[in-house]
Amino acid sequence: MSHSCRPPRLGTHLLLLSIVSVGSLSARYAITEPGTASYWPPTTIIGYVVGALLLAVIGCRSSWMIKHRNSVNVYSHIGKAIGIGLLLAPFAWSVFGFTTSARFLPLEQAAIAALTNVAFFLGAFPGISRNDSAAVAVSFSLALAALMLGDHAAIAPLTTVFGGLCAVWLAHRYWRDSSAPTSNRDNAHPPVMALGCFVVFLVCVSVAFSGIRGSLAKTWGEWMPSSGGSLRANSAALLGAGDGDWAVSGPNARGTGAVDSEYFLESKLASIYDVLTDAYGEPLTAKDLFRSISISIDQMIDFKGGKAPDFGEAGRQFSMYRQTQKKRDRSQSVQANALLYVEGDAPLHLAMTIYDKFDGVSWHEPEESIEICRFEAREPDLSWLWLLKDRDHEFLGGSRIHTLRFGRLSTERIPLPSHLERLRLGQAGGANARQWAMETFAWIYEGVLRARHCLPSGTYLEVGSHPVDPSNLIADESLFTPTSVNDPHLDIPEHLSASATALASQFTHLPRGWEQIDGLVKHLRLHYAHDRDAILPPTCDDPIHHLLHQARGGPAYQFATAAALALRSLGYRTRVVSGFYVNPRNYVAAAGYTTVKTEDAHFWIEVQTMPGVWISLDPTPGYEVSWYRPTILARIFKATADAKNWIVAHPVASTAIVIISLLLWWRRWRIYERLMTLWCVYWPFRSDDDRLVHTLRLLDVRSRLCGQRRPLSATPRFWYGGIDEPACQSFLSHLYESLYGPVRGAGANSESVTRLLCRAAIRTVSLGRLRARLLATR
Amino acid sequence: MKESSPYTARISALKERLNGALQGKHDVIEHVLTCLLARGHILLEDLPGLGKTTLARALSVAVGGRFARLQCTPDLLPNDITGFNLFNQKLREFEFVRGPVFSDILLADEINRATPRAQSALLEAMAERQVTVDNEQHRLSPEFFVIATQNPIEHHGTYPLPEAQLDRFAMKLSIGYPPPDDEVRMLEEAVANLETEDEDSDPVLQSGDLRRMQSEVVKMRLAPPLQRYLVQLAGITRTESDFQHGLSPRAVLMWQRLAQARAFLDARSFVTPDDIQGVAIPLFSVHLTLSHHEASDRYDQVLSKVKVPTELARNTGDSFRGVG
Repeated sequence: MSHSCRPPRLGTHLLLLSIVSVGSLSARYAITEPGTASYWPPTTIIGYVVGALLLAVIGCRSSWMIKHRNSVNVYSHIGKAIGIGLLLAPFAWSVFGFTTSARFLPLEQAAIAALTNVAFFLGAFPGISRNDSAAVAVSFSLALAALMLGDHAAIAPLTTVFGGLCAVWLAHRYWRDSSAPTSNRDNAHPPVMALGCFVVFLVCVSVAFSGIRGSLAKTWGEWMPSSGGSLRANSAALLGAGDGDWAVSGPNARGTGAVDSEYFLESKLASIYDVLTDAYGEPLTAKDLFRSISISIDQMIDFKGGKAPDFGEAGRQFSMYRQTQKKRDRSQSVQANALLYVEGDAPLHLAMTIYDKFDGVSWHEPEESIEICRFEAREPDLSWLWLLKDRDHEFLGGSRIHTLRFGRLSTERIPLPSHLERLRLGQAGGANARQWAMETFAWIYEGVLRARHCLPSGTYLEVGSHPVDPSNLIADESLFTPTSVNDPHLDIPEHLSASATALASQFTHLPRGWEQIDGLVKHLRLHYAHDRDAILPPTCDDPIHHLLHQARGGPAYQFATAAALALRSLGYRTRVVSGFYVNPRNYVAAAGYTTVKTEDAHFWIEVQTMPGVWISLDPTPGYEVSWYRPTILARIFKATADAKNWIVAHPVASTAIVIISLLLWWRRWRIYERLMTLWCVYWPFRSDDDRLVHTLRLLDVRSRLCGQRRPLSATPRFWYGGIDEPACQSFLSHLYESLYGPVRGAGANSESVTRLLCRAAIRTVSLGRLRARLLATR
Repeated sequence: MKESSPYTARISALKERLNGALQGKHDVIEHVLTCLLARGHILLEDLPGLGKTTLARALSVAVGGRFARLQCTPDLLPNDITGFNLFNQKLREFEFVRGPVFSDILLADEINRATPRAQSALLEAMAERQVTVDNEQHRLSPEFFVIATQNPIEHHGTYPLPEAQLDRFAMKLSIGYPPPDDEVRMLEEAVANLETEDEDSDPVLQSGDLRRMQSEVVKMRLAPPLQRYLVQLAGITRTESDFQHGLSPRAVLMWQRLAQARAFLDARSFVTPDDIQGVAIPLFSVHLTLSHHEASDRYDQVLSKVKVPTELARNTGDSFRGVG
């Protein structure tokens, strides 16, 4: 089975593995127990790297780990299982150790081991969406944990290296995301050589100057902005200390530099200590009367109250009031000029006009079909007006409420979110308001509501809507099946057909459905730039070609047009919508609402699914569609409901599972004992000492099965010494020697002797004999 | 696990001799020998006539040491214990007359009848193995071993031992009545036997044997998890509200030494948790100022809260194994 796997560049992969390795190594040093050999942590990490590379090779050459859907890589079920297993294995081992009194793995060690597993697992497959970001984030957590937990000498340099590698990674990401798409994009390399030369130059300059100046710290201090100037200009100045008269007499004198550094605090040189930097965020009302005076230490006197002495040195007094330009308080003006004030989650698309026909130059609305709104009031809260619907759709999740307060918006059309569920006029929503709303609101056409008159400023309208749950869209590929050809929502002007098809052809290899639609939209969002003020030249007759190949960007309506026509060429019913975009950037924290201004007028597209429901998509870069994000509780409810449905659908299997689970639970210790016996007898990879200790664990489990758990205070000899069997006594003697005796040289006891001894003890101290002995002796 | 050592036979003979002298009290004899080898001192709290003196005398004969008996009374003076300087008229100089502490095994009978002043005279002797008389220090025997007795039921005219002095003892034991069979055998053996016959017996140990065995005891290996186990057990006595006071570091050191001595007696080269637990009750009894029964209860209470270490030393992060 062959797949067209496109592995990431080797350099990217190595960079990612380096970041993961360094972060993990620092964490490994943080949890290293005293006495561990110094070579052990790096050896472990090397083992991890080898394992990750093997995983990558296996994943790329087979379909076990990764599913390749042409250029899109996703984890297979086996891959997911391996990832989850790697995450949970250290915790499981910790619980196992705690339960069986074997070696207990502390929680922080288990957590770091789990994160290391996950980081390397993610690092093994950097081609998968967001994998590399996740790997770096996990590595960052590991490095942070190392800094907080560990005191090993290697941690500080390792985290420094980690920071450098992360900087390179960020630069790489920036390059990758921001570079313009070209036809030969695959050949576009980040300027690695140039960056490398720059780094080498910096290192050389640092080393050279540190040789001249004396220390690397002083050299880097020269790069630091300091009010005291540089050492070159002022031999007494360093890190903000040693400000001369000329610095104080400046028009806007202020202290800059590391005023919290030991050098600054211990320096006896006259320095400006900027009082404002010590305010720690406290609101300070600047007054012209405030003066901060720079004086030498011998001039310092203690004067309590009264007038400050005049030292008579002109130019040594300066105002603490910053001479910066007063910032204009924009919030008031923005709020006053807002069209709408929206309370609730942002971003949000508020539709006001829908266009379904495109004549090559402009979009046209469908014909108006004014009808009285089909709303109804429902118990128990009669203030809400519920939209009458035929049925609920599976891919609509949850319910969200937004409160719109009308500002300067003077239109009869009501801006509404998609998938409207209910609305309420006025915050109180009395009977009059409800009646007024039912008589006033009417559909212009499907999806756009209007009132008989413009709603006055200050009117509150609460709307409830359903966000779309993309996971259900992804799961159900049958939603977007081809429709009939003579559909107005599939019309493409003839002269634009070629451009639209060319754009769409880049995504024909993707499976039909949500993945294909999402791929096209993401392509436009990622590779082109939004330019609100761009205007289509009058001579241009192909806006798609202009957007994609000439301007490489444009306003929102061009993106919407290009996306809509390309999707139509692929056979998806698509339309363009205009309205307002509730931008989270305009959120006014003090008031708790988001303002909507004229500049927030926006265009986006909607694609119809088979059930006749339109899904909003935004191809314009920088604009986000608010998808359904279920809460933890909602996820639990959904999982419970799914489980219930499955049980109802498979009664025999579920009953069998319950019975088997109960049996397993009932016989859990016997099963555990059997497994442990097999492990103790046959597992070869362990030392003699481990074998003896594991045999003791097995005897403890058997003792527990006999209803006589060995107490904490009972020594093995006290508990099992009463079993007068030579094999048991011999085992106890060897166990004690192993646990408490002197360190034995290699070959003190041959492995076969210990194995035979343990097997004899396991065979002799059977459950029946143990039960009889324990009952007799206890 | 048992290893043959040059002392195995002598220890067996020592046990046999003492078991012959004190019938049916193997545990007590085991504890006494443990204490002797650990260079501790014993406080026997029991009724008269239960064999305290017999045990002490048999021990002194068996180890081949000098035996001295100190009958403590309220008019006992410190100089009666340590000795005093006597002016020799003939030689015209002071000469030191040694007290009973200048022996190898000292039986301080009914020690709580002596005044605190006289009791404290024993402090330096027990702790430092030396006495100071008229600013002159006199070294005691390196094997100096005190067996003190006190009557648990008579309290009239007694001076309870202060805790500072109790801390100098390693164990407090109670001999108790012998089992009936052993008591019958004792009667049979007493027929036609003079009580002084024991004193005519040959010593079991040769000169210097005891000192050598005591120096071997300190070399018994103690795995770090067991040392941590000891400290955890001592910590319980310090933190639990049921205890008036916890074990002192000196008591913990003595506990370790007693466990080493017990391992030596069992002909092993390393200490096990059984050794630590085996000496705990008599040690608690004296160092926590408890009766024998109270010490037994507290023993269960303390041990039930700390897990016996059954992990390999490398799995517990210990970088080395054993001491000595």
